[in-house]
Amino acid sequence: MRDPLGAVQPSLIVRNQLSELSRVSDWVYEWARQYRLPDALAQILDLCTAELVTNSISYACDDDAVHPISLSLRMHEDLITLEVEDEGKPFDPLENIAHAPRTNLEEGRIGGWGLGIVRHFAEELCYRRADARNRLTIIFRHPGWMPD
Amino acid sequence: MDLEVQQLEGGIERVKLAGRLDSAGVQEIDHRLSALTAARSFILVDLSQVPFLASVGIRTLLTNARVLRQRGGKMALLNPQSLVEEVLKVTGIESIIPVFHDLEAASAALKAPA
Repeated sequence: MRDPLGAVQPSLIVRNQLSELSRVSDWVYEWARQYRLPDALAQILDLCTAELVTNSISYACDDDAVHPISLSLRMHEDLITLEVEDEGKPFDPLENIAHAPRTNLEEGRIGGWGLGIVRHFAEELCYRRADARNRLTIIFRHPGWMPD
Repeated sequence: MDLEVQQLEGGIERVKLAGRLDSAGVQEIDHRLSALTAARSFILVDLSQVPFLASVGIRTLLTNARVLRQRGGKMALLNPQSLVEEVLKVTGIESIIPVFHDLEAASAALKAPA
């Protein structure tokens, strides 16, 4: 995950398998360390990335084939942009956030919280479908950012 | 993820989890947690050593809490770390499975009549 000069790559491609989640987490934390992000913010990025990748693994493709999921992290001033892209069936997660499950101990659907978690922590979410790929762009704000 | 069980007074099982409650963590503890909720009535899940709670972990907690409820039992959560607690609030789970930062208060709530 590092380039020849030792910098953490801003992009990562993983397989659509849950066993890849630890590699995703390691990459997020290495990238966050490179930019000296506070632990709390790194944890939020880790959690949100995990939720989105898990969603992609679980729902994007209906076959048993291995499909790539592309991730990228960019930082510009106080904004961090995470992109998650897959080649699954069309799926706009923003439409599903509005239908977050209501449940209790007696009844109701169990599940469906991942996107709500991401929306809570994100400044902005944007979905685009192009070239048979889903691309979700999530923007986070670094509250303690100071210009050099 | 590790799971340790400590028996408290009043028939309460304190289930201490340690590690990430992500898909891998859930796989590691799911069987043992399910066995506990099938056999015991009052489960206090100690989250003090859980730095990461993903929605898959929430699903496990709620599924087991529901099983307990169906058997006439109860579950409570103890000492979540700040990000975990925020996730519990955002998802509304905090209003379904009570959260405590005090062991005595948690124990009292578990033993109180429904």
